[in-house]
Amino acid sequence: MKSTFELVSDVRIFRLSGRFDSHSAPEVQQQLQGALDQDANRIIVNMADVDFVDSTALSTLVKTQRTASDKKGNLHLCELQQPTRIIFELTRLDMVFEIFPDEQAALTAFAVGESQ
Amino acid sequence: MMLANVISQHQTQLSGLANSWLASGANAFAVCENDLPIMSWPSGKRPSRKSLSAAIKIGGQRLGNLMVTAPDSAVNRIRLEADANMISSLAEMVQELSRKDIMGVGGSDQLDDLYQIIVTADIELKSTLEYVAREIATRIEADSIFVRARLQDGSDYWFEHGQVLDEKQWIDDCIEWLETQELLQHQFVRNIPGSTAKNRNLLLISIPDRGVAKMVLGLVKKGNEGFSNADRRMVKTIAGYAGLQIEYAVLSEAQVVRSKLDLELNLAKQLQTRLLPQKASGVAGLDVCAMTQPASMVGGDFYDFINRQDEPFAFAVCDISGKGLSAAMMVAMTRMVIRSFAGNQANPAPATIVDNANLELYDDFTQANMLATMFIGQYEPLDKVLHYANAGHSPVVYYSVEDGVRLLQAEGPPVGVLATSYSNNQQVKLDPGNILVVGTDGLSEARNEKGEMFGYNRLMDVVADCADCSAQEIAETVREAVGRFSGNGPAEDDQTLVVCKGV
Repeated sequence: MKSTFELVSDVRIFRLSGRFDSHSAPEVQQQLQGALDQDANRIIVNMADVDFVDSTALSTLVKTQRTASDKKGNLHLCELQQPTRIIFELTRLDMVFEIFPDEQAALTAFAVGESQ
Repeated sequence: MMLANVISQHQTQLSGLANSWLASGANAFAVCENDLPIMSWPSGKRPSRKSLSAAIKIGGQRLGNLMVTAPDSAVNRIRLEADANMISSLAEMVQELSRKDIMGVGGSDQLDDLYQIIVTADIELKSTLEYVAREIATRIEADSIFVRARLQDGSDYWFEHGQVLDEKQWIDDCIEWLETQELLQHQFVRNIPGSTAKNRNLLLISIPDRGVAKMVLGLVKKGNEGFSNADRRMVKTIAGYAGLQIEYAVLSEAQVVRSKLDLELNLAKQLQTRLLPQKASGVAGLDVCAMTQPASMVGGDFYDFINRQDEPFAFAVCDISGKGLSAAMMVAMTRMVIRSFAGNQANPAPATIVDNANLELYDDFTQANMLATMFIGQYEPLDKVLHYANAGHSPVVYYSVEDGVRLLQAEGPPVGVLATSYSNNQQVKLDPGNILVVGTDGLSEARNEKGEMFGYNRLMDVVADCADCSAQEIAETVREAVGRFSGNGPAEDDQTLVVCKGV
């Protein structure tokens, strides 16, 4: 699975593409954990090009979100494809994550939180 | 000293075991060395003198024992013995891993992979052998891999993976000869004579089993290179662990057989987990059938029937993410926790079971970075209603005679995601003709060669088309449909389903 990374202010944006499953999850986990270890606590994962997620991928995201929250930050997801969205809805993980239609909305949500 | 190592390396898992005993009503649980507790649960509490005890040993040598302060019953004794055996296997693995010749196998990822082959809640000799063969196929280049076992009833069992072997007779003769020469305990490598390809290399190794069955593992490979030293070490290590696993399996079987006269045998057998298609008999108003097919020995899926006298029929279906030893332990723990909550209180509602399970398991799941989806169903025969709670589980297909087929959504996320879960009890009517199919995502996510997924729509169609069939026929039809769709390749994920039909 490919991933690209961009830093916007203090928000780290990871753009993943391909299958996010038990084979690719460990590597993604490493990258996300790497960011968290550097004291980054605001992370956006853009799933626009992710065509498949399985439970290992979901647990990677859950763990990342939890760690980011513990550091008083958050993980925002954006641009979920329809199949991914369905899985989030069926498993009710849409109740647990903040999901946005695009990167701009995900970024703005961090800024809004700040000004409060 | 040895036992302390095992404990510190597997603290989470041992806590899980301990907590599940405590949840079942035990007062204290401890791991002891030289009759002194080296770790106990709850922290600081010592098991009383009247506690049950089971020994932890490696090769007949006693390392320590497990103690639990719980009523002396056959079920508790069997369960404690099974737990002690599991820890004995763990201790033996830890000991083996510290030996030099095995360190050459690879880094810690490979070792974790090897753990996958070993610990599992359900064990069958043949499927262990088949799994071992497939595992080796993913790690070592070979044209064919086969396993031959001479079972205790004298019959021969043969399993092949990869290219068809036309030298089977020659290989059989080879093995017979090696047996008579008593050379099978060593690895045997040579060229196969007279074969069509220029060079066909054969590697044979016996699987050490201390008397269970004579088992031989073989690899055949074309070409001039033959098998490297790294290959041979890998095969030897895997064969060693497979032997360990099979021995443990037989020990557990033997324990069950010894208490055959005990009325509580059925419960003990259920605690052990049998992965055969099961019909729940004697449930008034319902035709129930369940099947599970693990993709690998360490399955993350399971179903469980909770059928107690004078209580409504209940069942659970769970899908636990993650792999390896941790996942296997989590399966065992989750099953124990569900059973203890469903069994201890008088008729708890499904949502209560899910919420309590989440409370118990949240810390361990977080530590192990895993999730468990959970569906608990409970049938009320008087009004023919199935009450259920669904924590993140899918696919759940519901067919009613009036409205046709649809998917049922979860009300909350899987267990292990939120520290406190608040599930809700939902219900569907299971009047005659209505059907509920609770499957795991190994079914909907099965892929064909083009990479297409079986998906939810096909699943719903299969159930709707089969609406007049019995629960067993529906289960088999779904399985066959998924199997035909995904072709003959090995399944990527476990496939489990429970079918309930109103009759």
